[in-house]
Amino acid sequence: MINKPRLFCAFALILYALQGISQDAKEIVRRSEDRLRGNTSVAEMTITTVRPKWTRSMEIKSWSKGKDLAMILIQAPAKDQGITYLKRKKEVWNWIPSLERKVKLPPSMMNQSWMGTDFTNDDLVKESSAADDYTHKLLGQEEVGGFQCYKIEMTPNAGAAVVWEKVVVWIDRKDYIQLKGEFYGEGNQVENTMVSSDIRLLGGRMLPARIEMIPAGKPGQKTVIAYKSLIFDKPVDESFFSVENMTKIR
Amino acid sequence: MNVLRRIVLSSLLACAHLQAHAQADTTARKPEFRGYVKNMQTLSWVGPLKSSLTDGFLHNRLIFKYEPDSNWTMDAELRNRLFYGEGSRSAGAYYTEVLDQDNGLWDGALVISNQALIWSTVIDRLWVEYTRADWRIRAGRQRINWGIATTWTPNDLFNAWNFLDFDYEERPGTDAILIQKQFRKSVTLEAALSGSRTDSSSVAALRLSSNWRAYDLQWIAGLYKGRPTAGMGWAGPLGQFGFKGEMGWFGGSESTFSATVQIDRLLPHSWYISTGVLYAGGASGNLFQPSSLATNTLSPDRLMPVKWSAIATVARPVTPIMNASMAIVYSPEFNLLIAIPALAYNIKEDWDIDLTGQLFMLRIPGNRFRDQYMAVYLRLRHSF
Repeated sequence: MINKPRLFCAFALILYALQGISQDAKEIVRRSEDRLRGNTSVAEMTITTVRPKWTRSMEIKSWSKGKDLAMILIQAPAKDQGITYLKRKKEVWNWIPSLERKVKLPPSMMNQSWMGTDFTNDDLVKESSAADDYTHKLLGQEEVGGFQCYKIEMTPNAGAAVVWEKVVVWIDRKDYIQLKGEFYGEGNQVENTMVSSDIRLLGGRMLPARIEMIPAGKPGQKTVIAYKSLIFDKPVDESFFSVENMTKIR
Repeated sequence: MNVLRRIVLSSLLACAHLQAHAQADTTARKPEFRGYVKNMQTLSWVGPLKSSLTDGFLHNRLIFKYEPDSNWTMDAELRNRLFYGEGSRSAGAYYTEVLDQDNGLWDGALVISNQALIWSTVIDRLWVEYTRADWRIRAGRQRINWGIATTWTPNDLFNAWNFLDFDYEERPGTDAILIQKQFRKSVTLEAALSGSRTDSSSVAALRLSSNWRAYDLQWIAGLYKGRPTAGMGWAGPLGQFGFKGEMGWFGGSESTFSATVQIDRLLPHSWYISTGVLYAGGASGNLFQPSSLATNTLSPDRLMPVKWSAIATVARPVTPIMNASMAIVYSPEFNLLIAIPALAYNIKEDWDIDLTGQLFMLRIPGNRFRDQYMAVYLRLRHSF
C-alpha cells in the first residue's frame, strides 16, 4: 500500500543532475561530462514542476560517491520531510519516517518513465556515458545565452540503452558547460529541450545553477532544478551510504 | 515488570556513561517541531444506505525532536483527536473506554468527554537514543518496525501493521529498549525488549539482517507474549518485479505459522501493480464484524480473521498531484471481499485531500455479493 512515484521521480532527477547527460564530438562531450563528475558530490537544490495551472517545489539534499552510491533526503514540503532514498549499485531503498521503516523498491522503478517532472526516467538513471554510448558529429558553432558554443549531434550507438533517436547539444567553448540540449524522439521530432543558465562558481567549478527541461508542444509546462549549493570531492565514507544511515542523515 | 524497569534504567545509565567518555560534540541541531492537522469525515452504513451513520474528528499530531549533539536524539510525539460526530454521541461510553486504553508500562492516554464531544490525547512516542560508531541504543516508547513486506507483516512483532487502519500509519508506540549493532557489509544485529503492565504481553526478540545478492534478508528469534517465535523475511528482485515475503512460527500449546508473499512492479505510464497472499495460521476463523477489522490491534500470527487472504493493488498518478488507487482483498473461507478505492489530491504544497472507501462484502450462499459494511472517508490534511 506504499506508492510514492512522485518522490521517486525526484530521486531519479537528482541522479540525473549529479551524473549529467552531456555529450559531443567525443572529446568535447567527455570534457563537458567530466565537469559534472566528482569522486563525491554533496548538493542542495530545489526542484520545481511547473504546469499551466499549478506549481510544486521540493527541496532536496543529496550525496553521491562514484556512479554506484547516492543518498537523497527530502527537506520540503513538510509532509515529505525526512523521506530518504538510498541507491547502492542497482538496489534502491526508501525510508519513510511516518512508518519508521524502509521499503525496498522493485527494480522496475529504475527504468520506468515517470510523471511529475519533464525529465524522462530512462535518461535520469541510466549509467551509460554520453561520451562512450554515442557517435558524435560537430555541426558548427552557435551562440547560446551569450556564450559561444560547439553544436554537436549525438546518435546512440547500436545496442546502447538510450530512448532518444538523437540528441543535439550546445557546449560552451571556454569552460565546456552544456548550455542547451535537444532530445529527439520517434519521427525525429524534438520532444524535450534542456536549457542551462545562471552560470556561476559551484563547488569550485563554473556550472549552471539552473537547469530547465521543457517538453515540446506543452505550453506552460517545464521542470526547473535550481542548485543552492554544490560541493565536489569532499570525503564521504562508503559506510555513509548504508541502510542504517538513512534514518540519521539531515 | 520491575525487572524490565531496571533494564530500562540501567541502559539509560549505560548511555550516560558512554557519553561521558565520548568526545564533546558541538553540532547541536535546532529543536525540530513538526506535525499535521487532519479532519476526517466518515459516512458508514450496514446494509441499505438509509441506515447510515456520519462521524467526524479533528486529528492533530505534534512531533518534537531534539538532538543536543550528534550522539543523542530525543523524541516526543502526541496524538490529539477531537471527536464530534454521531458515532461519538451515540456510543460515547464505548469510544471513551477504547480511547483511554494504554497497555504500555505507563499510561500515556488522556480522555475528556461530555455528551457531544470527546477529546483524546495519547503520548505514543517518548524516547531517548544514543548512537556512537556502529552502536545505537534507544529506550522509551517507540515504534519498532520489523516489517519487510508492505501489506501484511508477520515479522512485525512489536506492533503489527494494520493496512486497513490507514489514518494511523505511525501505529501506537511500544515501551521498549532497542540495541542495534552494525557489522561489516550490511550485517546488523538488533535486540529488542518490550514490556507492558501485564507481564504476559512482553516481547523479547533478536533480529539479524543482511544483504545478499541484491536481497535484503532477516532472521528473527525470540519470545512473543510467552510463546517462542522464529521468523524470516526477504525483499529483492525477481526479474523486473520486486519480491518480498515474511514468515513466522509461534510456539506454545497451540503453535501457529504465518506467512506472506508479494510481488510488485512499476509499469510504463507509472502504473504500479502489486499482489500478495497471506496465510494466517492463528486466525480465529470466527464470524466477525467487518467494521472492527480496521481498528483492531493485530497480532503477527493473526493478521486477518481468516486463514487465507489475497490482495491485488493497482495505483497510478492521474496527474503528478493526483493519485488514484484500488486494492481488492479476498478471503475464500468467508467469501469476504474488501474493496479499497482511494483518490488523493495535493491541493497546495502543504495541503492534501483524499477520499477513501472501505467496502466489506460477504457472500451468502446462493446469493450474489451482498453489502455488509461500507465506509467512505473524506480527509483533509495540513502538514507543518
